[in-house]
Order: sequence, then C-alpha cells, then structure tokens
Amino acid sequence: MEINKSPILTSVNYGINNIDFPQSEIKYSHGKFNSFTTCGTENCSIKTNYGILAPEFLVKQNQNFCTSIVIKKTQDEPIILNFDLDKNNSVLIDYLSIKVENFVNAKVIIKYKSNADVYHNSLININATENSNLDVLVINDLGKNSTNLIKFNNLVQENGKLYYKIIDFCSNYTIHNFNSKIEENSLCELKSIYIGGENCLIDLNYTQNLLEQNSCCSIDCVGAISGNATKNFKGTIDFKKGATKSKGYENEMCLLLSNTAKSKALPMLLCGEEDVDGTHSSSVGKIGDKELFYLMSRGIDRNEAIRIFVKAKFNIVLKDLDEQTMKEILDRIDKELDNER
Amino acid sequence: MMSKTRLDELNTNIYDFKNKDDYAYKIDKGLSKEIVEEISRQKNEPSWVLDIRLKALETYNKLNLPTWGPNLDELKMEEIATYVRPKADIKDKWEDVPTEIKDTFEKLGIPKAEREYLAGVGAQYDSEVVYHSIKDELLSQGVIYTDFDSAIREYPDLVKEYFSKCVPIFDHKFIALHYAVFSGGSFVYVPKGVKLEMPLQSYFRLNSPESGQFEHTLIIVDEGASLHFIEGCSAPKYNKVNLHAGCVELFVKENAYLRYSTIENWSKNMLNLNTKKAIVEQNGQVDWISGSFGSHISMLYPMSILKGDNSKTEYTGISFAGKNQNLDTGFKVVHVGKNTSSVVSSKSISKNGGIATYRSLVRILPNATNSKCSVTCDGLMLDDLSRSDTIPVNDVQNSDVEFSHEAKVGKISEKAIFYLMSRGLSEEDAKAMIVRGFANPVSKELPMEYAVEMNRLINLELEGAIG
Repeated sequence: MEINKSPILTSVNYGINNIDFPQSEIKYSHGKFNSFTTCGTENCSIKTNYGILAPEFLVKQNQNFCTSIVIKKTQDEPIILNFDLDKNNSVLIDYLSIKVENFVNAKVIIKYKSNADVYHNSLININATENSNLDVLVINDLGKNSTNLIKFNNLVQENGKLYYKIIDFCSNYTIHNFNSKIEENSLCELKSIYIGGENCLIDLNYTQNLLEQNSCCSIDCVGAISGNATKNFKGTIDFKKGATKSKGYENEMCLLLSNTAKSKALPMLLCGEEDVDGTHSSSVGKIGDKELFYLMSRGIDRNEAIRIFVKAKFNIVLKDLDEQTMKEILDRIDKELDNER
Repeated sequence: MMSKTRLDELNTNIYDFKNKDDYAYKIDKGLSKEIVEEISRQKNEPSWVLDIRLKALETYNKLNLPTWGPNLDELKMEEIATYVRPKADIKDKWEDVPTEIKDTFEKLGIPKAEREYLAGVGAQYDSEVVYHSIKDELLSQGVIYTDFDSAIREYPDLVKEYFSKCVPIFDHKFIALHYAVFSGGSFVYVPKGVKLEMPLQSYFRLNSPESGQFEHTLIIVDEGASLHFIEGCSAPKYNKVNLHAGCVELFVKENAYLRYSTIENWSKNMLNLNTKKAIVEQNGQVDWISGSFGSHISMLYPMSILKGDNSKTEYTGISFAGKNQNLDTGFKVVHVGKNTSSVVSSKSISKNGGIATYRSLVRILPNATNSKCSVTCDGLMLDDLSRSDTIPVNDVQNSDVEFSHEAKVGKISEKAIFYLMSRGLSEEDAKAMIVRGFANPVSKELPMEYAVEMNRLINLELEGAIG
C-alpha cells in the first residue's frame, strides 16, 4: 500500500474566532507502517470480533495527521474537517483532539471520504468540559475494500452535553471502539447508523461509563446489512458505583436485507449502583411483509418500499442533519441499497 | 431520613441442619486416575463407564478454567472428596431408610410431597441415591424412573444410546470433571404417548463437608409423551467449600413435552457449576423453570437445542443473590430447525452485596427460518452494595426471524408504591406486593406447594421505604 505523498485533509472550516488550531503535524510513516498494520488489523482488531483497535500509542507513533482543536467561544457555524482520500493518498492515520471549553456550544463535522480502497485508522479524543454543549457528526464513506478503524475517546465533564452521531457506509473492515466517561449531571448521547453489504465485517464496540450522579447516556444503533456481511455489536452501559439517579438507555436494531447476512449483538447492562434506571433492547429481523405490502399497495415498487423503510429507520440520525448533508446521505443510502440488489 | 426496606436474607434455616458426617465410604480428597478408578470399582460398573470416566479425566486436565464469570480460585480440587457413600442402600419404602437420613428428608418435606402430589420420588444423600419409588400404574405403562446406577445395570442399551450424547464430555472443564467422577442421579424414560399427570421429583442433599455432588440426570420423553420433572437441591452450611457439578441431559422427542423445574437452595459455601441441556425434536417442547437461591457461586446456564422443526422452548428463571453470593445464571438457546420459537424471561434480585448476573446466548442458525425469539430480563437491586449485570449474546444468522431482547435494571419504582398506596394499601404491603409480583412469573409456573415454598424463601421484612 502506498504511503501518502501529500496531506489528506482537503478542507477545514474552522476560520472562526477563538479556536486554537492547530499544530497540525504531517508525519509520514515510512518504515513503520507495515508493523502497524500487522498489529492493528491482525493481532488486535479483527481477530477479537469486538472492535479492539490498535493500541493508542501506535496510532500516535504512526499518525500522518494530527490536530488539536480547542473551542473557546460558542460557534454558530459547524467546524468541518473533510478528509478526502484517493488512490495516491490511501493511508490516513489521524489523531484528532477536540476540546470545548466551559459554557461553549459547538458543532463539529468530520468526514472521511474516498472512492478508492484505503487504510484509515483514527483516534478521536473529545473533551466536553463543564457546562459545554458539543455536537459531533462523523461520516465514514470509504471505498468498498477499505479498512476503517476508529477509536473514540470521550470525556464529558460536569453539566456537559455531548451528542455524537456516526454515519457509516461500511467498508470491508469497519471497526469502531467508542468509550465515554460521563461525569455528574452530564449527558452523552450516541446515535449510530450503518449500512453494509458484500463481505463487510462490521464490528462496533460502544461503551458508556456513567461515573457520577445524575448522569445520562444513550446508545441508539440502527443498521441494515445485506450480502454476506457480518455485524458484531457490543454495547455497554456501565453504572459505576456512585452514579446514583443516573439513567442509561440502549437500543440496537439490525435489519437483515439478505438471508446470508449475520448479526451478532451483545447489549450489556452493568449495574453497580442501586438507584439507577437502565434499559436495553435489541432486535433483529427482516423488513416485515406487512409493512412492504402496505407500501406496495400504495403504488410503490418493492425496491422503493425497502428504501423508504430503511431510511425511516435511519431517521434517528437523519432528522438532525442539515438539509444539504441529509440530501447527500439519502442519495448515498439509495445508491448503496441499489448496489446490493 | 427514612430507613430502607429490608428484604431478609433467604431463610435457609429449614435447610441448614447438619447430620453427623457419618458415611460408609469416603474417597480420598483430590482428583487422580486412581481416585476415578476407585470410584468405578466401588460402584462395580461395567468397563465402558470407566472408559468414559478416564477419557473425561484426561479432558479435564487439558481444559482451562473459564476466563469469564465469577472467580473460581476458591475451588481446590485437592480439598474435595468426590465420592461419599452414605450408610444406606437404595430403598423403595421410607420405613427402610435409616432414621437419620429419613428424618433429613422428612424435614425437607419430601415424603409428604410424595404422598400428596408426586408420581415418583428419588432422594439422593451425598453421592448415592437412598430412596427411589414410582407409582405402580406408571410402571405398568412402561415408565422407567430409577436411579442412574440401576439404569446402567438394568437398561444398558438405552443408557449407552443416550449417555453423554446431549452434553459431551469436552463441553467445558467442569462437565469433564462431572463425567470423571459422576455418581447418583436419576434416569427417566417415558414411553411413546404416555402423559404423566403428576410430576416426578428428585431431591439432592449433600451432607458431607468438603465434598462434591456429581449426579447425572438423564431424561428421555419419547414421541407424544409428556412429563413434569422437579429437581430440588440443598445442603447444610460448612466453613469449607463444597462443590456441585451435576449434569442434566434431556431428550424431548417428536410431539413430546417436558417441563423441568428446579428449586436450588444450596448452602452459601457451595460452588454450583451445573450443566443442563435439552435436545428437542420436531414439534417438541421443553420448558425450564428455575429458581436459584442458594450457593456461594453459581454458574448455571440451562440450554435448549431446538433441533426439530416447530420445536419450542420457554425459560422462566429467578435468582436471588444475597450477601457473599455471586450468581451467574442465564439461558442458552440454539435454533436449528425451521419455525422454532423460544421465550426467555429472567428475573434477578440482588441485595446486601450480592452479585446477580444474567448471561445468555441466543443463536439462530441459517436454516432456522421463520423462527421467533423473545428475551426479557429484569434486575432489581435493593441496595447500593450489590451488583446486577446483564450480558446477553444474540447471534442471528438468517434474515427470516423475529428476534427481540429487552432488559431493565433498577430499584423499586416509587411511582408504583405511590399508586398502590393511593388504592389504600399500606406502604409495607405495597412494597411486599411489588417484590412478590416481581417473582410471580416464576412462582406461578410452579406447583402450588413449591410456589408457597418459594414465597417463604423470599421473606420480606419491611421497615420504612425501599430505595
């Protein structure tokens, strides 16, 4: 695999006051890359089935893009980081650190896009400090035979709010490892949608740790898989001792669009505190004949009915997107579903 | 400040009485080839059984302890005697059973239950069955209900055909241990079309300290037959660890029905590492009712393999983890045949530092089209010293299924208490009603007498508010 010859970040929309940005370092990982991929994909990630990525220090050692963003003032416009990869820029190992300061509201959009097959491994650290409010949207749309590994580390401090949304057009290996630490009176909400087909291995490991009282979290994960795709989902809500009056909600839903797609789910609820409210639910199945029949009896053809149904399920994330992004995503979902038939 | 509602530790006094450790033979502590051969010699077994024992011992030595679940460091096989023969041979009349042992089972209410509502009873004391009986009319219908040693002698072909075929010796380390040193247990065969109106019950009592019980239960319910089998277990409390590693193999043939109920109330020094599995053929159904109240550590995950088309299973379980208890329980189901269905309902209550874990597996294989599975599990925590974890694995391998899983964990709802109080109930009555209601899905599945016993086990002592 060719090592990047130029920076991959194609656009950064952070030209707004009061953002510390960035000491962007471009490092090339000649010589180290092979050992890194071996460790990341063979020894750690893929064999475990549960999205354990390469150790963080290896990402930091091998990164070819690194940035640290500190948001000091409320932003009206989203901060956008676009990573467009292509045949000549086929390796991205990025380390992003984003911090919102006290009483600041902001929105960050991170897009990884490529038509070519690429290798991508990210470490995204988010720190939502006291009374801050941060929206993060991550869109992964890489070539079909790409490897896409992302580690999300989040710290939500007192009274902070972090709303995370992840949209995944899954590539061959899509492995996410999401881990949040949620402090007193704070909230971390994760909504994730994914669509995968062919021989995709989708491995999602989402963990929300409720550390202190009155903290809240949710994991809402909806996906549609087809072909021979295999999805492993492990969601954990962990009420640590001291997290009194905390609430956790977890929902996982997987639509199987082919007979050979496989879904494995492990929605865990760990509870070391008495006065908490934790629920989880998980469901798997195909699109109901009744639902399809209803739509088709209204004159909609079968394929369109399936598209409508899938998009309706994805509404948990789609409804919060801006118009242009929503349109792009809806078009991509249509394209993806058409390809799978 | 309101004091918290107290839910008493399970009242195990009725089970916690010790007889003198008086035995006819107790094997040396530990586990070795010589010990396994000696057990076989003591039991005067055919050579094919010894071959299985030795192969299992070899497997046991090769396998590792599980890397998950409760810590089993306390288990030291070199301190456990795997075979204790009581001073009694098997009898079919209670009058013939030695007084002390008979009194034990009297206190546990077994002879009374037999007189009133059971079709047959087996009673095991330490490693051997001391009493076994079955109603004559069942014998005339061809029903076999006997202890496992007698079954090996009297029905060798039938036993050979099924023994270790449902739970293979290499399943895990403790089942290998079981096959190496198994002793006692029950064998049931219900012929085609015979439907038993009254249940059969086997009761397992472990009296000897620092010993293990490794009974093997093998039940075959032939085509179109039906059976309700009840298993009860208890032991007095000692300071040293006791071990229970039994095995239950159930074969449910076409159109047959089996209900397997367990009220397990081992003492708080017991490591309960039991294995239960059922294979269900076409249109068959197996229902599990499971109450786990005792033991220090339990790792118990009954399993149904829905092999035949249209086969069904239901699991209803409750566990109560009190002080110094770590109950890791759950259910496993594998859907193999088409149109199979499973319904799982699990409840757990944890208090006073107890750890209740629900661990489960649902696997729907590619050919199990049009299968349905519904899982619900609820955890109730009564104080902040305890833990309640839910760890379900759901593995769905075809699209033509309906699968749902729900779980909830938390304390008793203040709203529910308020609602009941607004209907005229006192606060104490409201809370008692909620806790008993929580356990109700299990108790309603049990015969009346057992439901009463279970409610007695959960003895509420209410002071002030829950929460």
